[in-house]
Amino acid sequence: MSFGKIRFNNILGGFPILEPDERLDLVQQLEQSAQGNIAFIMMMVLSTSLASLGLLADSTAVVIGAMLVAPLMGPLVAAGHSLVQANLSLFRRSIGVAGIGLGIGFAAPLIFGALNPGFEPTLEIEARGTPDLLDLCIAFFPG
Amino acid sequence: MTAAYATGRSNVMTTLAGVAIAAALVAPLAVVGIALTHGNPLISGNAAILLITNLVAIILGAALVFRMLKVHFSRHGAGMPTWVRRVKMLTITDRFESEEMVIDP
Repeated sequence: MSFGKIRFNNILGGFPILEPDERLDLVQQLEQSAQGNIAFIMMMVLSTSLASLGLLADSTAVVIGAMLVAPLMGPLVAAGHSLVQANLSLFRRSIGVAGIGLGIGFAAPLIFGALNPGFEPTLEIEARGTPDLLDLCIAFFPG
Repeated sequence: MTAAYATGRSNVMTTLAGVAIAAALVAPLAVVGIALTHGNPLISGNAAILLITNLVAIILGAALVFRMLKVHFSRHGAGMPTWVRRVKMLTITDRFESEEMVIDP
């Protein structure tokens, strides 16, 4: 056995790999989930509204509730998949859908922030205002 | 990584993985808007940085797991090596035609 010939999958050993038909299903499923329809936009607006109110009220439970209804997983996982596949059209579309969702969702905190002037930054807000390397790792593992 | 694995393996629950993704994105997005309207551009900018780095980290984590699950690149592309196409995708310089690409999973 020569160490030069050890490849990625030999080291991983029993790591499951996808069969061809599973890969076909996966592509179709991801193309479905990366579609930015009215339901996606509606859930995005509602979830960011809820998150803004939770942040203003300094309530962790409400912020977590907002995360439960956010629909961002579909386009982002599709973007990761299309990056591996070098699938340009799906990559463009999923990034576009995620960008539109974030852009429209951005309107809700602006409105709720303007309606509640003169607030001191709450602890929940301060926590997001001081990002460090730990937050980056916390984002890497859910993806 | 969690969401990608749950999506690829059908016997793992997908819904809750989306919550972990939203935890990294929705709260910073709301903080950007709220801090902006409260005249606190420092917190707003920091939260925007957090949001963008989280976005990139989520996509790269998902891509890593899909690669470990042996998702292939599609061979019928625009006729250039896959690493060139990936770099073009990441740097948004993909101005060549890619409309009639055939998906070859």
